[in-house]
Amino acid sequence: MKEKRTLHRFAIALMFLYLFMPLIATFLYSIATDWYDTVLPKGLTLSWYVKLFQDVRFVAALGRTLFACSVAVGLNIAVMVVSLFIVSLYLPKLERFLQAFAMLPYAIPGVIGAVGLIKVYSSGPLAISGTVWLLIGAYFVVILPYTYQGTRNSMRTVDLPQLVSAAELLGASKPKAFFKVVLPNILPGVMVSALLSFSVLFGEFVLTNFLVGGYYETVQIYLMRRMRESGHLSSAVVISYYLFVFCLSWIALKLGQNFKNGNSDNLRGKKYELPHYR
Amino acid sequence: MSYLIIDKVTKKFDGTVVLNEISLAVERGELVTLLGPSGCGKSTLLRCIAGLNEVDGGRILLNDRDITYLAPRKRGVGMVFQSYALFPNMTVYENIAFGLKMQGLKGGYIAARVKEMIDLVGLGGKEKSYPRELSGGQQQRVALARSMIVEPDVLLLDEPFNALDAKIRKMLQMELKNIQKKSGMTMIFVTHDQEEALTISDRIFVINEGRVAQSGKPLEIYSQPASEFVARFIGNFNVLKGEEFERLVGEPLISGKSLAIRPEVIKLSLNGENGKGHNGSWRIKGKVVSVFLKGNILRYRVRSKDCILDVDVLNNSLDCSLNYDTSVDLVIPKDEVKVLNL
Ligand SMILES: Nc1ncnc2c1ncn2[C@@H]1O[C@H](COP(=O)(O)OP(=O)(O)OP(=O)(O)O)[C@@H](O)[C@H]1O
Ligand SMILES: [Mg+2]
Repeated sequence: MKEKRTLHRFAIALMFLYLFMPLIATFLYSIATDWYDTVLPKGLTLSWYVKLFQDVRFVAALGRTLFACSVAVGLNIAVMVVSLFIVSLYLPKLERFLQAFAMLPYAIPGVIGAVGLIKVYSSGPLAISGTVWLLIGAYFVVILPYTYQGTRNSMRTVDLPQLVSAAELLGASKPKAFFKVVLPNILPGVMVSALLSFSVLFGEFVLTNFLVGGYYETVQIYLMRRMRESGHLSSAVVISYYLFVFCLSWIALKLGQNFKNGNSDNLRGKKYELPHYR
Repeated sequence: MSYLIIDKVTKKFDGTVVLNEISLAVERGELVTLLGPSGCGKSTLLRCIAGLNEVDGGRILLNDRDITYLAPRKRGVGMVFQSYALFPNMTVYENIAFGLKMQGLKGGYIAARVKEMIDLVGLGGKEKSYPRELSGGQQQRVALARSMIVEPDVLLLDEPFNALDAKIRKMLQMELKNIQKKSGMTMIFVTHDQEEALTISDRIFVINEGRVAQSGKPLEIYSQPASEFVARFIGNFNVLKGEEFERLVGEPLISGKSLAIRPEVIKLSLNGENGKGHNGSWRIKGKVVSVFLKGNILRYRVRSKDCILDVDVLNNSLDCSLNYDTSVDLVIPKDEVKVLNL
């Protein structure tokens, strides 16, 4: 029995090593002074990171990415929450339509989407091709499936129509019912999908490269460019980048867990199970 | 004029008529129940009164105001939902205080009122708990307190105790009745449980297919059902067609209408025993078909001349229960046979 367990552990460790090897190597490379003809790097240094974060262009690129992603995610979430609220409360028949609409981006490969967008927006009344606005618009569309699913799921965990009815009968206006009752109950779920969307966008390259390329240098584009110059530096970019996405996912996961333990079980379980009294 | 008047209210869903020109009136301070089978439109009527459903016709007057087309929050109507609908993100205290906060009242006043309310429903010590940390019965008390604190003109309760087990249910019924008497609040209570309705109401409206089938005090409805539907729904009455009954007692009756007999008024004795078959009653012979034990009573199903009659007998241990096919005598008091008009 015990031997078997050791074997299992060994196998799992091996697998993790295999999976993380590239990341570990990249990390080592990003802190190596020289690593040509030896098994391990000759010396260790943080200078690549210092160089990276002192590069104005990197910081600017990071800023641009953060800007484009946050605007797209923020706008998307706001639109999604309000429209889902209205649809699920007052126009339940439109829900299927909204779902189909939100799932559409899944079906369109990035390249095709990019080419189409450039064609439409390079001329005509709205010539925003090559600007950040087109990028934000495209990002908005790309994350629709994630925000739709996340928001709808968190709305399903509570009986929204009934909570709103209850609030209204207690004297709340519709906006008040929305902000005091609906929003706090769906917020954790919405945050999770926002963070998820954020990390999806952060890792997106195809659309970004096609749509804005060198005009609006985001982290992705910057990474591409520096890769040709210095391997150490681009390794440092990759690692920083991974750390950032890792942090985002971790927060999303934590929030998701809280959400599960906290909000969702109370409306489902309690209603049917008969708890002990006193 | 009555306090709450429902005047010929009609409600359709996709062409299906759910409320069919229903009319009823409730007095101030009364606790009335709407009693009826599943799907008869009880919840729909409550939702119309609360303004959560729009009506397709008719008027609703509350305290001399026409509230038919008012927004829910302007009606002065409170509601307790079957599934409680507590706000999961708020504590017991915040849930109960919600209505007063919406009125923009001062914190100190709110705190005092909430405390009063929490004491009234017996939730002391639970102020800081979240709904998910409470038992079903406690959640229902919070829901009750939350709706009562804003002192609505009328409080609607839609099968509030349905999800609770029998014991807590009985207890909360008594508590609700006490709280209602203490506060003098007008309440409309919906249930499909006739026992619950008989226990707590001042008056009962029996609803069937979107109309009031009969209304009256619990005892009236129980002892004088007006129709076959009410008789069957309220008291497990034996309902017999006129000709069936004539065959059974061997006497012609004047009216050809259906008749109802409560199972507990029929006396049952063993064949040959000296029952008193005097003028005020009919005596018939039959055979036991089956026996059900219902706690403190035994229900015998007896066949006589191709009619089936249910007879309730107190389950005292001296009577050994009768078996299948035993021949018995039934004595039916004449004045306990109710003629049904519908
Ligand atoms: N929103 C709705 N859309 C369509 N039909 C509805 C809607 N709400 C209720 N109904 C229909 O109206 C009828 C009455 O429903 P209602 O909920 O009032 O019944 P009820 O008397 O409360 O029954 P129960 O005891 O099961 O709660 C049912 O046939 C139901 O299908
Ligand atoms: Mg109902």
